[in-house]
Amino acid sequence: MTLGTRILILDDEKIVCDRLELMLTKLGFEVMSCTDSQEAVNLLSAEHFDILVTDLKMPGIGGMDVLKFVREQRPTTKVIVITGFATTETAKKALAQGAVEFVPKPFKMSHLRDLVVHIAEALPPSAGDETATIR
Amino acid sequence: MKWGRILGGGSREDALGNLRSRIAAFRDLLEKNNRVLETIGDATEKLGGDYLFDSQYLRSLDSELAIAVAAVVADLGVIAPKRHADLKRSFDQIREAIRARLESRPTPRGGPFVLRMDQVGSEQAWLVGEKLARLGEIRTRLGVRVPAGFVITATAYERSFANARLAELLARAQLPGADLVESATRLGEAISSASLPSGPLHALKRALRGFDRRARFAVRSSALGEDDRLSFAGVHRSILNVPRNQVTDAWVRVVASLFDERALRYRREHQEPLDQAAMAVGCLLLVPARASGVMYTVDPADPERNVVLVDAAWGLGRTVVEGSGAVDRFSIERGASPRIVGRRIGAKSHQWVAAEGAGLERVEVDPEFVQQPAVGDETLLQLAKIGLAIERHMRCPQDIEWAVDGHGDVWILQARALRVRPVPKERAQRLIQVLAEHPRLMANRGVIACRGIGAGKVVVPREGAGMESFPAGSVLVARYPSPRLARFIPVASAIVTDAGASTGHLATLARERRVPAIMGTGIATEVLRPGAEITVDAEENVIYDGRVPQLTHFGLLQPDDYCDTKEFRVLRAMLAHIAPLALRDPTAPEFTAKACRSYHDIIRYAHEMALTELSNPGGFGLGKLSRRGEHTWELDLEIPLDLLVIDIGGGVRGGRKKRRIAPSALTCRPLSRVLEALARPGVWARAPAGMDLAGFMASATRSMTLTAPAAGIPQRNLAIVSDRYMNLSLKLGYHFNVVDAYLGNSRENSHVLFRFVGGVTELVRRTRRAKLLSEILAHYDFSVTRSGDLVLARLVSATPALVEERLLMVGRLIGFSRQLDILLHDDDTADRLLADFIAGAPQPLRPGTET
Repeated sequence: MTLGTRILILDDEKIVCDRLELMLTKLGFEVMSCTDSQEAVNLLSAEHFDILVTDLKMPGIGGMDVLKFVREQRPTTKVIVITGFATTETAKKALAQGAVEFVPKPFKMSHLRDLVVHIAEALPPSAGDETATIR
Repeated sequence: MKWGRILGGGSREDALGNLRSRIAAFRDLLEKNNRVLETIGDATEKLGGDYLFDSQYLRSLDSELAIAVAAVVADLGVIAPKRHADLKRSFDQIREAIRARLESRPTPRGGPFVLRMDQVGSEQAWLVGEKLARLGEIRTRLGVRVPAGFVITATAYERSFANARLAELLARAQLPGADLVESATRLGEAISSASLPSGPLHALKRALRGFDRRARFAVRSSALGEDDRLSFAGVHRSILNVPRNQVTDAWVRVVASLFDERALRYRREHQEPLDQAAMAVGCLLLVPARASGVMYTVDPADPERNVVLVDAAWGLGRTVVEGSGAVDRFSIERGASPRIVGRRIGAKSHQWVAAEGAGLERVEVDPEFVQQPAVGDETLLQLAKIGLAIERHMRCPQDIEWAVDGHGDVWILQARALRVRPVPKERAQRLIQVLAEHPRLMANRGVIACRGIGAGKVVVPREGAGMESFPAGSVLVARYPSPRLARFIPVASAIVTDAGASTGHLATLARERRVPAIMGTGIATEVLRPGAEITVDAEENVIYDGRVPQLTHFGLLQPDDYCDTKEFRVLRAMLAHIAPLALRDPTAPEFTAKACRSYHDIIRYAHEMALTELSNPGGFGLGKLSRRGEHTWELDLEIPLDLLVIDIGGGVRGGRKKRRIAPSALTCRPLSRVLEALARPGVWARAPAGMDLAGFMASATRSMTLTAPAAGIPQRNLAIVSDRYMNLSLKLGYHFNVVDAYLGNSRENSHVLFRFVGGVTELVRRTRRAKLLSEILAHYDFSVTRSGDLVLARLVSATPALVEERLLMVGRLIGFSRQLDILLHDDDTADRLLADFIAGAPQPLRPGTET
């Protein structure tokens, strides 16, 4: 499934949100983005997203905490971590926290696109709640 | 032993240590040099839009490069102490400029006070402001008719007005709660009362002298940053119909509008810092307009309607721009052949015209023309075509001011991005369905060098093809991204190549011009037929058969306008101090540490100087090392080479107490290779060439002062070695030969340098020999420079395996070249000897000699 897959992008750098949102929207995904992690947590509590693309190092609630929140509250949401502070250590930690992919910044737009499409295609048709069905 | 005095250190060990550290510095320099080049390539590639990066990347780019380039500068300081002190100063200046860009601080601008319009293109935006840069761009690149004139640049503004008083007033106006009316008044006074310096004034007068006494100008604002992120539409002032002798005054009045109340309010609302404001001013000949107006290449009220809108009125453009009277409104269908699809003729009772003395006056329109369309159909279609060409070039919808003169000629007075609301998401979803059904010619082949969407007819330019073979808007398709294709880029709607990467020259140009580009597809010239219409989606890396208007329109309305984001602008600005290479020719007088303007210049300079130092006889103080001491051995060889070996680490098998060692005791791979080749049968000639043997052999080893040796030239043949390094200084007969080599573990840190100078014969023959050596070395992948009888050759970035192979060749060449000058009677002989050597002959064969 691609059409109707819901994606949330969280990064304190606006350029990351804007460009990813544009690219993924064009592919037919339903995309929301925010630069504030508290706002993202609020959104994640209120709505179901199939995929979360999140930065790690952000002011306020950090990416690892967001990951933990998703793991506990939204276990079906797949998380892709993107970070400019990529070390093997952080990668291991993020994957241990339930992230499915770890992408160091800067990255190729097409690389992230392929990851998202790949994950979206593998999603079960009825993952999460009714917002995630094929349109 | 005088090691201490020789090398400036304390003990002998210090002296060796000194030598070791210079060689280590050279290794480090090579490594950093390569790393910096790689990083520059990576960063340049990021401008193509296919990478996502953020401000964190920019900060780490800055620090990573600064550390590496600083290390290169320090390394050169170790290799050649105190000789390149200017390099550190150049580095500091460049670093500061990059940091200023990173922190978006203003930097001293420089550049001319006045530029003619025909010298202006988009790359001058920093000097003439976006608005005029764009106008110059469409004039030179698209051949669109734009009024002649010149620009009084931002540099002239800074020199004339940016003084301490202005800075103080700006700082006050910037304070929260500052009274903008009062601030504007004071700032206006400061500008109009400034005493203008002679530099800008003279430049302005010189420019005006190029125009007729009766010329009338339109003096237009072009603030820096205007039209870039913020439209500033109508914020600043333009003055029309200015006589030649009033241009200076008009300049000051337009500059003053930079800080009038409206401008201050606008800047405050958009949080634009005042101290970074600067104003360039265009002085363009006033078009005596019969009709003028505004054209939108997309309907902002309904962007998905496929039309160009044109508003027109009689006389000068003020009626339309200010909305001060009725106008005509035309809709023209977009497409390859535009068609007028709507017209509404207004009752245009008045028009603005140029007044007799100066300024404008509003006059009544002859009643006969009030209800007539201000422009004819033909002109309208011509206008639409120009508008679409500008849109294609600028890659976004355009808001264009135009005029038609008494001869019916169309003039473009201004063009800027038209802001339209984003496409609704449902529309994007529909697009996917359209695309899914559209036939694809290619998908996911090659790499995206510049993101974007473009459509047009395929043109595969032939060798030497002129611009006439490449209609504007075509898709450039080629086997190789050859630099000769560069001239087509400004008018291409997209680029697709078979070979090439996203870091090549053509890719860089495509990014500069924002032309969507896919490189290295492998099959473009096979699959894409010349003359066929295609749509290149260099965002998703797909090429569609035919035009897909939904996709191009979507790309137009919802461009991935990464180029305009702050991060991209900062990266571009930083790269301007990082990537350009001005220091190309090491023999040019400008090849100095002071002349370095970018990091690329710095590493190029340091690399060159280090190599020169290494290949100089006596460089590194090697010459004075030739006395025997600890770590020093005489080498027992079959051939009379009389070679002294100094080991600086692992070059000789340990525990050798004797003064003489056999070649088998050497663990230095580079030297072993060279000696291996020299020991092969026939490589070291026993017979003299036209000189008697005794004389020759004597000359081969005696110390001599024939070609005025530089201070420190070794008194005997000398090899400084470690396990992987060799610096071999030879004087054989009457020439000097230095070979410096390192066998690293990768191509980044392996090299061979070869230097050769001198000889026993007259300069003509010596030069002939130098030329022959150059040709031989070039044949074996060396890059060679030659001047007179001096040859400098380098093999850098070669695999270790290749370096070893080439060291064998160098050994052979040392033997081969010993008597060459004596043999080189004429150029024909030289050609024959070149062939001989390449064919593997151990020695130059004299005519008539049997092998």
